[in-house]
Amino acid sequence: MESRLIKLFVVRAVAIVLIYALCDAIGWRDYASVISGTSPDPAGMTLTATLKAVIYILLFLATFIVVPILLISSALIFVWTMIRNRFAVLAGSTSTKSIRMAVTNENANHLRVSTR
Amino acid sequence: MILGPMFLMLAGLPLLGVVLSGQHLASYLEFPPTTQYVEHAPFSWGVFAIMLIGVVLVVLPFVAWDRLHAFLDDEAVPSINEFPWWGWAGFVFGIVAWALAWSRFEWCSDIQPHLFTPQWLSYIIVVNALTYRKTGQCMLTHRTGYFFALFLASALFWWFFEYLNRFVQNWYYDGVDNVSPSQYFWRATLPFSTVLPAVLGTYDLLAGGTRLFKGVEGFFPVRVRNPKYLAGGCLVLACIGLAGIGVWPDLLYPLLWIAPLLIITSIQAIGGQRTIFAPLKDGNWRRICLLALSALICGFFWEMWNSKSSAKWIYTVPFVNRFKIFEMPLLGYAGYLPFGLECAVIGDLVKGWTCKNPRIASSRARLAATAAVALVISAFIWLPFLHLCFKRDVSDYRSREGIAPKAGAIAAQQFHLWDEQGVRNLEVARMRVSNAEWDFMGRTFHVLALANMALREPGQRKLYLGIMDRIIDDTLRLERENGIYYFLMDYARDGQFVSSRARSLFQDGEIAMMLGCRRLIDEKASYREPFSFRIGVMKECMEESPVLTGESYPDECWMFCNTVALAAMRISDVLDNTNHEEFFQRWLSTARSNLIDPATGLLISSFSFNGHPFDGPEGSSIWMSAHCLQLVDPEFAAEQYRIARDLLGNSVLGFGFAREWPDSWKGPIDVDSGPVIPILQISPGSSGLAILGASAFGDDTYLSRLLTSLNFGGFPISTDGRLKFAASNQVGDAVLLYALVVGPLWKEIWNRA
Repeated sequence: MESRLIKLFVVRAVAIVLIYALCDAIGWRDYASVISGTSPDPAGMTLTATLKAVIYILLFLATFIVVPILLISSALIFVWTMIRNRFAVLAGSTSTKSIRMAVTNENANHLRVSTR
Repeated sequence: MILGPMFLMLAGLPLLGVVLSGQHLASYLEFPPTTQYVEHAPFSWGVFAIMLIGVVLVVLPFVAWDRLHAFLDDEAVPSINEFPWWGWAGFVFGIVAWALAWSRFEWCSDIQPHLFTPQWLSYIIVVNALTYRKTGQCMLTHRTGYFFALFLASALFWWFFEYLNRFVQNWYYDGVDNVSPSQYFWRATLPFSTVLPAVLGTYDLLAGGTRLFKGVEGFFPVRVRNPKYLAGGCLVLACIGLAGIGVWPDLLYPLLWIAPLLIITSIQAIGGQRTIFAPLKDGNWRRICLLALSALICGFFWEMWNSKSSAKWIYTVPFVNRFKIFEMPLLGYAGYLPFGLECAVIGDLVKGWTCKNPRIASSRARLAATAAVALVISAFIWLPFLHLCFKRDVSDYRSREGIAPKAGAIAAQQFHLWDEQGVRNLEVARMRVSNAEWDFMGRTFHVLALANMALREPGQRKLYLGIMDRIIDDTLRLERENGIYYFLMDYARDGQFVSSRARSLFQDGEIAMMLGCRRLIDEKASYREPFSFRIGVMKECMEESPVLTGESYPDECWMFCNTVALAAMRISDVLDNTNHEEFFQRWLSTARSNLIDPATGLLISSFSFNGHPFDGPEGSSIWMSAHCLQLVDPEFAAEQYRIARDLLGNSVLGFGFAREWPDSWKGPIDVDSGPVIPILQISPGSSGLAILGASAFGDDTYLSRLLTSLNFGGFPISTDGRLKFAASNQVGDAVLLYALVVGPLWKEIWNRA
């Protein structure tokens, strides 16, 4: 289950970075100027310019804030799963040992009763 | 399933209360949290007595009943094991850490602020060892996954109380000045992570290794006919209380410790889950009492070890801040009692997470919860480091001598605009669509920057003077050809100037400033007359006003423009031997009486010709005004900067920014402020000009944080050695360039004066 979560996070992180890189490459960074009330389009502040600015800024924020969080989360879940599985194995071996001891004790009692 | 609403309520309610009461949120979200803004009520014998009686009445029955039981049954719990070797190791380690923390040896002064965590780690090891000795098992050896998970949960848990403390400010940290956000985060998170293992470890020891509070296992039962109704009622009350702590911190601060417990257990009860209070229906109060005692024992050690730490917390509790045991006032220890229960509630949640119940393990809810917790922890890890991706050495931008590389790149972009007429026309057209003033102010700040650059790089003086002349001549030509309204916003035509000269101080002041700066670098005869004319006409206009201020727009005076005019007059005194000193004194005296906002002590930003205030102190005005006043009255200017820095400047997670308006004034979001980011109230306009303020007043820490924000939110674009900021425009970049080279010009003026 956890591996699905890790894959989910990593795939989304990579997708965000790729889309951001694409928008940056086609020059949408210029549209961030709407923050200062100016548009890179000679026509002024159009809806298209504003939309491009909003998309670019959200992608930028996602790339620098959300993507690292997704990747760190993936790493944490991976480590947590490893630790939990390790403890599960240890707990399993302890239980097996306890069962073995219990069986031995039962056999000994049985032997004692038989001897009597 | 319950984590989402629980988190929303606990984190959101205090903020909601603050928003509903009309306060700004920025200070509550400040990081590192260093500003003290809650003024606490003084000590009150009445409140102290009532609270003391209340605490005694709650605690005494349990203690008395248990002591009576202990008198009848004084059997001790036998030990099962020897005290383990790792317990001894933890003990010795703890003694060494304690000794070093309390010593004042020079050689260990660097590690002393970090010794609180080792002391607590040794405490945790020792209580686990004692539990192991008494019961044959302990968290460390038999529930190791749970034990380590408690450290993670504990860090989040205590950060939550730190967050709540922003609303009541019952404690603050001393000895953490000049610590970066990431350093602060780690120096705090590590000791925070030891809270739950310490309290719950102590509980394990008391529960398994002693007979304490055995007597209250059969104390009075608490049976509720409709537990869900009771839980609902408690939830509503706790929510209201938590929402109110930021509004009435002095009255509701005890809820910081009680409300989270009530909210979590109420939600658990409504959801049909077992709560920490479940054993009370059979009259079993032992767990509750032992948890409270465990927190109190840990509290004693916290306060004791804190008292002589080099970095420590100090309490500011309203009404009861007396009779201190270490740093904590006596009644403050009562807060540890419910805190112990809160630790257990969180401990139980962690236990649920780390349990190996296959039904829970396979559920989608568990997966979602894992994702949520991982994301929250990751956010806590990442966000304090985010600023490091954008932080650059301040010397890249601003140097004491010469021109720093980034400043040079911004200057190259500004030159490029004057070299390439087509590019410039496009840039000017873009700005004029929004605000014609920007076209004008971009010229002023560019000329001011060039004057400083000419003083910083005497070898390039000729080049810079040439550009200055082009800008000034072009500006004078445009004003001559198009009239005074060319560089003003359209509403300037709607009214009549009150002053008989009917001129805009905005234009006269900045043109005078440009001309004066040019002449300071190198005298130009043809600029002498227009400069003197502007100085003379400005003084005439200002003298006509009862508050000695000129109009920028009809019957609208701006502090920004008036302080620029004063600075230009000081330049005139230096260049042409005029003397405005008496006028400056009268202006300062009038401004102190009429143009200071009483709530903040800052100069207001706009007012009528007669001095009637329009707008209060404004970020996009005060930074430049304080800078210009450095030429008039440096002490007053420094005071204005200091107040503006306190009330408008802010830093969160290593990013510096500035607000447009202080808490006490509700002003508009306009072309000057730019789009204000809610909650933190970040204004791009004010933040940009704050860079000028921080540079001019040598506030390097704030400057560094503002430049980090600029790199993050300014969207820099480098092309062929030129640098511009996409989020800005020509005037914004010109202000920035001026901020990065500011200094030599004002120094030159004072030297000549």
